[in-house]
Amino acid sequence: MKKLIFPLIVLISPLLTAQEPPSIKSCLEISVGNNQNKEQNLHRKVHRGLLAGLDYSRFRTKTSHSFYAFGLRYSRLKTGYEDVSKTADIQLYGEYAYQYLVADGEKSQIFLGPAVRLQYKVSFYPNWDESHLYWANGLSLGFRGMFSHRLSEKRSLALDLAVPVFSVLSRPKAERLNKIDEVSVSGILSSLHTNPEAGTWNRNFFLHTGLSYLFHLNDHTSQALHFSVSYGRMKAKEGLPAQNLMYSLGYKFYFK
Amino acid sequence: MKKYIPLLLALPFFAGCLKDEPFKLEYNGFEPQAIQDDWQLSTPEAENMDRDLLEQAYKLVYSDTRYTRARSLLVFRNGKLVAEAYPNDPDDIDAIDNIQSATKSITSILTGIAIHEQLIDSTVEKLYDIYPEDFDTDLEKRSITIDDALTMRTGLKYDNGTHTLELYQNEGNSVQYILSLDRIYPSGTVMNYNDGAPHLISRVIEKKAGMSESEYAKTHLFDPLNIKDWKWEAAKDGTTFGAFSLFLKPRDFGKLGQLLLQQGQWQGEILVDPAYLARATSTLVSAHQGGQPYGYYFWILPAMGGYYASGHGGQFLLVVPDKDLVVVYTAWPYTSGEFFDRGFELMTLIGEACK
Repeated sequence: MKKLIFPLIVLISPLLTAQEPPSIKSCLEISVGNNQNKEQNLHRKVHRGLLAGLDYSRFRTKTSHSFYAFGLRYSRLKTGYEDVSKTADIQLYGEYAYQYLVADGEKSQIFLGPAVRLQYKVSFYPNWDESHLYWANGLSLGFRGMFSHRLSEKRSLALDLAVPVFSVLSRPKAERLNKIDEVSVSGILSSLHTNPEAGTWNRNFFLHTGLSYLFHLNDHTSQALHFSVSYGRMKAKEGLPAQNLMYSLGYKFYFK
Repeated sequence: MKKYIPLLLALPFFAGCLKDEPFKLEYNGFEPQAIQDDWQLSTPEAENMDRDLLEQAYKLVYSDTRYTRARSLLVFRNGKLVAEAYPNDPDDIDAIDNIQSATKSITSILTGIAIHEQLIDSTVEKLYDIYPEDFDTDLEKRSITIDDALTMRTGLKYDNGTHTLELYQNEGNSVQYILSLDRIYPSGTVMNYNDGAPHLISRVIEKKAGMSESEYAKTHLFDPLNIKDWKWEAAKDGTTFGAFSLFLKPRDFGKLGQLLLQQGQWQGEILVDPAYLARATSTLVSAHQGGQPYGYYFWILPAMGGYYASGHGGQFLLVVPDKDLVVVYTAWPYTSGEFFDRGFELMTLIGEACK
């Protein structure tokens, strides 16, 4: 029963504060940055390269704060051994978070609450393994917090932090006893969910933090510069870990 | 609270970078490990080999810039294991690895076993006489012989870059798929190295033996050599891939080299037809591109007096009869050609180490 309490809080928390009319905003973000992949099931070298990202999120704010978000990251990467970036890395995620106002100061506020995140991270390294895809996919439940600080009437800073706690994850086997992956759509989708296993930080450690500098344009729109860093390490019981570090700088546009 | 604000806001900037680690472990010599298997261990000195030249070869496979995807290098002389190392992971001693196109040479060995077992009377037998149901209406294709398929001279327009993936995905009769390809040369004329021809031979063995090539390999090759851990992939119709995807342990791969060195004899019993083997490992054709001499799925090295099986990743099984030498090199098998070294430097160093 205790195991169910946390997911239940996530599901019912939006209902707990349903009396007041909320403020609803959407946000579109485009970003560029640096992506670093270390897929040790492949080898011990780091693949690096530029990333481009597109995110959409929708916020619902009263005294508490909830949002859902979807995002896509695409990168072309290479190791120090390669002249041309042939490695492709795609990350796709969906997230829902509900954050309670836990501290309310004159200029600063802290929100904290549960978050659920589904992430697919799929890479293809044609120079190193021209036959198989590599992935680090997971469904995780954890916490997301935000610290916001008002600088002036129109400007503010926000620091957000996300840490998953429990995950169900899927990683490829270290030894592929098949020459070629199944390349049909159904075969790929099936592959990306193989060997699911549950774990906590020992299996899937993920830390996302971002700093936004917001400036309000009018009652309906605002914009922000957003610097974010994400680090993830996923390791199945068998096989070696995959690590990923991303820095990105984005432009956010908020609208009602 | 206020004093912590700058610290909190600086948090995202504290991340570092992921660090490269070497491809290989630290070089630790090449003394063979004492494990319970059929190999007798020895030393370079006892087998009259130059230790310094061997060390040069081993340091190459431990280099972080050469043979980057190396998994094993084993040297056998006079029927004994003289040197071995696993630069990527010590556990590779016990791991099966896809030997990729070196599989073709095992298909050749199995053809020699089928000849010895009198399942195949002659390599000039036509494939059409063995499995007519798999041929289309092109009458010219019916003249393709076992010999044509063993020397990559079927004349069919099989291109590995396109057709091997299709062969892998084909839901129907895999041999019919290969035989349905256009004929671009008369059979028996032009050597076109490809994955289709050995698959035709796999079906020959299947038809003649009444079992798949992998089952035949188990009973007639792997069991006699006490090779227990292996895997061999098959097409979706059950026909074993004759050209690729045999997975073996490095020491077991070496046993196949030793069998070749012993002209098909193992523990006093003839497994492979010796006359066939002699032909299979001699120059019969030249490669369409590059002109390298080729036998029945073996590359020939006239200057060295040897021959070798070769697979993607730069993997090889070298046999030099005059020097009583077998060398196994395995590597990650799916690497792009730009990122694996061809093994000639290793072959030369180890060959020269034999006094």
